[in-house]
Amino acid sequence: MLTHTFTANALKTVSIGYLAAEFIKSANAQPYPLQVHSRFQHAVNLKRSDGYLLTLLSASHYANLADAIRLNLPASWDWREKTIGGEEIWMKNEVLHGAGWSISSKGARCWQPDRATAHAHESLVSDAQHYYVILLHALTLFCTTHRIRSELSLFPRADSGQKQPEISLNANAAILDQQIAQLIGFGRGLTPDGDDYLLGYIAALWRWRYTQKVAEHFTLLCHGLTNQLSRTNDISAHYLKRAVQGHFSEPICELIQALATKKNDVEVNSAALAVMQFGASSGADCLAGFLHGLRALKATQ
Amino acid sequence: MYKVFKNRYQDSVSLMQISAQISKLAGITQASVVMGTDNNLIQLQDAGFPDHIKASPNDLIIAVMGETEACNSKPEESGNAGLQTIAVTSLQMAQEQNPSANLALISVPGDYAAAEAMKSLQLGMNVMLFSDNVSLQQEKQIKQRAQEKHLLVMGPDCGTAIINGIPLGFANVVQQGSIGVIGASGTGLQEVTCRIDQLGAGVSQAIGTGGHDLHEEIGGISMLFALNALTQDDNTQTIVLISKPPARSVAEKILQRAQTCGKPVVVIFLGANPDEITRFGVHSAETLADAADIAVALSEGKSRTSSHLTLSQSHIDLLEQHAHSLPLVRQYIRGIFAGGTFCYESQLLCQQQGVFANSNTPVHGNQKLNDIRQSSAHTLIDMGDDDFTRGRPHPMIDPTQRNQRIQAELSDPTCAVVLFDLVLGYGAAMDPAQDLIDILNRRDPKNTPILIAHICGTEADPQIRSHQINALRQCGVLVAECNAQAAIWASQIALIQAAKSGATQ
Repeated sequence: MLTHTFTANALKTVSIGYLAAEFIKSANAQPYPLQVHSRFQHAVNLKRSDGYLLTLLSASHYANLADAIRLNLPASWDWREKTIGGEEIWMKNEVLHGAGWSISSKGARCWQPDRATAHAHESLVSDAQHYYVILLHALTLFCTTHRIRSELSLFPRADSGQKQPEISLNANAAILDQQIAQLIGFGRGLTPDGDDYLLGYIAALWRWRYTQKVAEHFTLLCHGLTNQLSRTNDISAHYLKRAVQGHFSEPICELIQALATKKNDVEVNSAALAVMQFGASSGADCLAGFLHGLRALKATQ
Repeated sequence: MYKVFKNRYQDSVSLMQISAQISKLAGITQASVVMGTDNNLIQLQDAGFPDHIKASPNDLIIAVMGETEACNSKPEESGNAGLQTIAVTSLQMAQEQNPSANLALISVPGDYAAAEAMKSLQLGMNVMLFSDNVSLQQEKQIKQRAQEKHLLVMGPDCGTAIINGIPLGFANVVQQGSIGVIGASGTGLQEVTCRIDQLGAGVSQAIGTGGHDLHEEIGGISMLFALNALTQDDNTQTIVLISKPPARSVAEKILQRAQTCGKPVVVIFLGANPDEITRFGVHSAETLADAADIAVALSEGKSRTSSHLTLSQSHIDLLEQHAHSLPLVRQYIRGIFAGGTFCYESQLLCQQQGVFANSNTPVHGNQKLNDIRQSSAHTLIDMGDDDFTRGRPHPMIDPTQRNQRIQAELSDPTCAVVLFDLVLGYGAAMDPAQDLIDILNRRDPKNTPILIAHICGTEADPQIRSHQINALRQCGVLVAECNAQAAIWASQIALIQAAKSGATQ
């Protein structure tokens, strides 16, 4: 006869984002609980009272995030059933304890992306045009194949009737704020289309943020965006806040790195595909924003 | 009409599905499902919705326009919109809601799977145990309990079954008919049932037993139970048994029962000596496809067809024509499989042709790969093995990783043949050929290995087999009728290349 004793499910950590790893270590010194903020089938967000958002992800569904722990979850695992909104999750000795489950990240692989930054006087993207064509083609193909629907026009000068995003490298602070305001929180999805677009735009510029022609715009952009984060939802605001600080998801980091290290066309295309595979239209919105960034960089030539 | 759900977060895919489902409702002319940000509130206002919607950016708004009656229906009545779920939290509750339910499909972590299986048996339900990581000792206890209660247990680690025409797990849409199939291998069951369908016949039941059922410790309890069930099933006229070679004592028990069941039985114990099978008065098949062919022939009162091990002259000519322009340096087969049994069968058949390979799951006589991520000489890889699927979806569900491996093999100048399978059906990727085409189209047509594929599926599968075949053929892929034929073709190419260079395998 089998025994039916109930034991906590020790969920296996596949990898831990570099900011999540720092958080776990610091929280270990000063433990106080997290609360379940939002729950999805394959992900759950835990929020600390100071606003820190730790995400637990199914490794088979999501790539790494700076603030996430990726887990090897049983096939039937559904966070909406395993957690309750507002439920307290405790951490002790670097182990998270929920109702019926626990997560230890000790010894787990820490995901730490390469983050190459261009020097202040580095020449701006000589290969940008070449990569731009590849990425534009990838976006076109992806949107057609997967019938991507965005509230934004994802292609320049497209006559789709959708809102055409406007962000200009030469805009002054007031105009840039207006342009951000038009986009932030705009559109469908948990992370609205406009937010994803802005995130992609920041990602394209991030490597070049210290260069002469980009620095001022990037500072204004980040400042304007930070001031308007309350105009979108908590989760999307979190991603945008992290983007401003230079923290992006693994697929976006890999795309940035692929361009920075002048990877071949196949690898760049593959990196773009990985970006676009996120969410319903979020990935495509993000790549469209990234392309907007590349156009802005080209305009500085 | 609109409704605001406070602090409601749904992932983007769910939001899109909710929107699409509402839009499809009769009488709805416009539907918007958005987070309540300022920009979205303005958009809603511009679209004609009221200007006084009170919502914060963390709230979900569902707004609809159209006929009053349609708009007044609550979102949760509009199908499975992901907002409301009926919380059935136990098998007992499920059975209370559906008293006629007599089969439980269990897919929970291995630690709990055995307990859930026991509960199901206690409730009088047969069990399909999709979960793995159930110990042999637990499996034996479950199956002994099932025996006491005259119930069937499929699994643990049973991925495929078709019960009373309903596909369970990874299964294909096949015609119903008179052939009952019992298999200890998921993709083996799929190959045989699909082939039966392709030959115009049908399947009465397809029963999975789990890979360990024919282990000495278990003694084939599930296969014997299923064999008895099909013996008594009036709709089943012919029976097929599929497994890797079982323990001798178990094989004898099963074959003795098959011999006395009163119906024609076709047995494929992959890699077993046919004489060890036919001496029990049952039919032995050399390949999975042969098993289907023999079963269909028997069910139609015809004599057996030729084996898929035999290459026709037209196929030899075709392969020689393709190999003609292959440079000498291209010598090796690279088999990249989603189906574990396809990899297993291909290894056996290649060996029979004199082609010995490396593998992450080597059959007797083949070598274990030193680095599973790097092919070496002839290599046949099971990408569905735990080594590749830990923390990642199975390649049948998400072929990305498998396709990347195919891409890597295409770039290897020593690769003569890329051999692969596409597995269709419920649970499998929606358009696996399309996923591959982008990669295949990027190859240099003047410097490429030969591509040989086998597609396990049917015309009635959601992916439509002929669509997948046509898509691959348009990319220059040679599509074989069955896994065995694909393996034999690949071996033939390897032999041609070896002969060119004067080498022997």
